[in-house]
Amino acid sequence: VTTVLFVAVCLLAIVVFILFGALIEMYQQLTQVRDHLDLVDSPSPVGLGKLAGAAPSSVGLPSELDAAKHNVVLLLSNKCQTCFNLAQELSGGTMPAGLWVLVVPIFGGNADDFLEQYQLRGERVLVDQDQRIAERLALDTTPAALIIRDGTLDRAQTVPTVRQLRAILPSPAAAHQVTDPTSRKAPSLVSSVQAN
Amino acid sequence: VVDVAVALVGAGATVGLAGTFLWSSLSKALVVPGFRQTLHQLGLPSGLARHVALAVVLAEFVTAGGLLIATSSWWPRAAVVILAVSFGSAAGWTIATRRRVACRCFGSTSRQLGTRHLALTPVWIGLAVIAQIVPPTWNVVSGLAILAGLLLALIAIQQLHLFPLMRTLRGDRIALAPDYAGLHTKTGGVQS
Repeated sequence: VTTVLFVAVCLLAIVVFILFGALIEMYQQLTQVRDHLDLVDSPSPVGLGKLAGAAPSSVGLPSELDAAKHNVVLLLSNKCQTCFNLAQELSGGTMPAGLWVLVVPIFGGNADDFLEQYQLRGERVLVDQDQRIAERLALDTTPAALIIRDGTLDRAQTVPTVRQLRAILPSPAAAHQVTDPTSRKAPSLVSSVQAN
Repeated sequence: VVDVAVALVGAGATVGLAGTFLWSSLSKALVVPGFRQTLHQLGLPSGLARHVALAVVLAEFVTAGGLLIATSSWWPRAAVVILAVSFGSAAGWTIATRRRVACRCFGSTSRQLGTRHLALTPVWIGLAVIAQIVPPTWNVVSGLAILAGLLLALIAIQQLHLFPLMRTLRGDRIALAPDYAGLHTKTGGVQS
């Protein structure tokens, strides 16, 4: 009986080893696939060029941002899956303090369906219908975030995940602080920007 | 005391060899197509490589089991020498021909066959000689118990690879789709 039991344990152990081995193989493949598809949770900086330090209104963003101490403009397109994930996170609720959303409809698409689908509403939800802002910023990557500090375009980066979005949001106190924009001329909004 | 030490050395050599061949055999069993590719790169025709790959996996497992269960037989130690010489010859051939061949000695590793494998050949042969000179004296049931213990130990070692991968994937999953991890806040979107 003891011999039979040990043989049974050995056979079961072999099966378990192979099953765990298959699981490890599958996990390694998933990691490889995610690495290959660049789905890892790491933001990449996006160059602003000469626009760094410029007033947000100079590229067509609302002039309120020229007085913002620390705000973030999230650029979403109506086509990318990560944009959908981020929009879903913002869906239907109050926009976090200091966060603006700029929807950039690409491929001739209409932003209304996107806004309706994810119930993105409010004064801080904008549409770059003619892509003028995105073109001025030379941003061809979405989702991306523009970080506004002391009333100027500080930097830009990609936003690959909701976690990264959370990480770049300003604190409520900083979001509501204003800076002195008097030293800067604030151009009016471009016609293509509509407040929803 | 000397007799006990000698017996322990013999038993250690046997268990060490058995554990190594068990690990090698079961790891290769998970990547038989890859190991077949290794054999093909070593010059075997593709059709033959498939059969040889399965034969090597089986031979390693039988050798490991034989070392622990058939302690009084000479054939498991002879099998160790044959397998060691075969692996060493393959490594020597890749060195001589300057070919780069993935070893897959322990599954899907990226290590290439080379000097390390050639240098280990006398070690395996030496352990087999020690095990032959001082064979263990345990019975079949004890041998099976040691085999079961080794298999359970290998499963435990597997967990060391598994858990870090699980943590990484879970972190990615939460980052990419918080809904699935139950972290989505329905009350008001992203919380700062």
